[in-house]
Amino acid sequence: MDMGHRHLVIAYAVTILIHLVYVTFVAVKWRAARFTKSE
Amino acid sequence: MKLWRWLWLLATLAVLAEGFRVALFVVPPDSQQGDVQRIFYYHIPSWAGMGLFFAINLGCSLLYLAVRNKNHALALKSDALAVTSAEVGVVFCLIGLVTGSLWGRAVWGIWWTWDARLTSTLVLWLIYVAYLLLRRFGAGPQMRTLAAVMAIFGYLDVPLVYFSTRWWRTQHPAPVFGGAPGSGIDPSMMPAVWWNLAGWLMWGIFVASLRYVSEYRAQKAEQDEALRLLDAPQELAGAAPQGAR
Repeated sequence: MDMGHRHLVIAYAVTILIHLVYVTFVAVKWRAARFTKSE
Repeated sequence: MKLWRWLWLLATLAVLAEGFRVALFVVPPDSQQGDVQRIFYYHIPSWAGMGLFFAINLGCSLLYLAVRNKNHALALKSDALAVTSAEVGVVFCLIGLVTGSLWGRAVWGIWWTWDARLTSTLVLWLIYVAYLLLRRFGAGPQMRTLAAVMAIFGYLDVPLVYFSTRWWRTQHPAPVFGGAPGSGIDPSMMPAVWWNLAGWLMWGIFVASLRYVSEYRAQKAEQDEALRLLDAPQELAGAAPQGAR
């Protein structure tokens, strides 16, 4: 795999990974909020 | 999770899967850069997402400042949406910076350069990270007002980022869309742009809608607790024995 292909794979993987990390954080917050009294 | 969120998530994942397939296996490689140019199909949606969510943050911050003393319910909602959109915008901005750096290393031979586009974008990311830190470690209505003002000043960097490649000579290439005559990409590549743009914006809206719920509930609970504490001394005073007064 040359550098161009390697960087393409890493760029796609990093994009998906960062979104997965953030959505995990959001899911944790969302679950916690289910037990928080709202209006 | 409500039914519409599940349906939205399913549609989003389908669009993202199709965008992935079209970007990697359908559209032709770039005649000069080859396959590494396909980073573009994830790079551009990140900037579009960043622009959209920072604009929502600006709108909500302005709304918060306008209604904070008149309509507390609307102020709370606009403030919660401002925090949410700033977070999602920071995530998109980070991805844009990282994918751009990886692309730059393959095409320019360098990970980073301090040209106007890259520097103003890094500053923009740092401004919104500072905004989120203020939100995380500050408390009370003054913090919310301060954060809203900070968001307005922070957004001034967005047009600077956008026009930087037009105003100054940069390592970053000139605008691909809406640039000089002859700019743009081959029409055969456009399906990958549209699918990924739609998919990642749908994803951003999905994540933001989930985050908004938790942020709003947390802020509402904090506000209710503050109001309860304001009433508490009177209740205690009322309950105290006569001799203790």
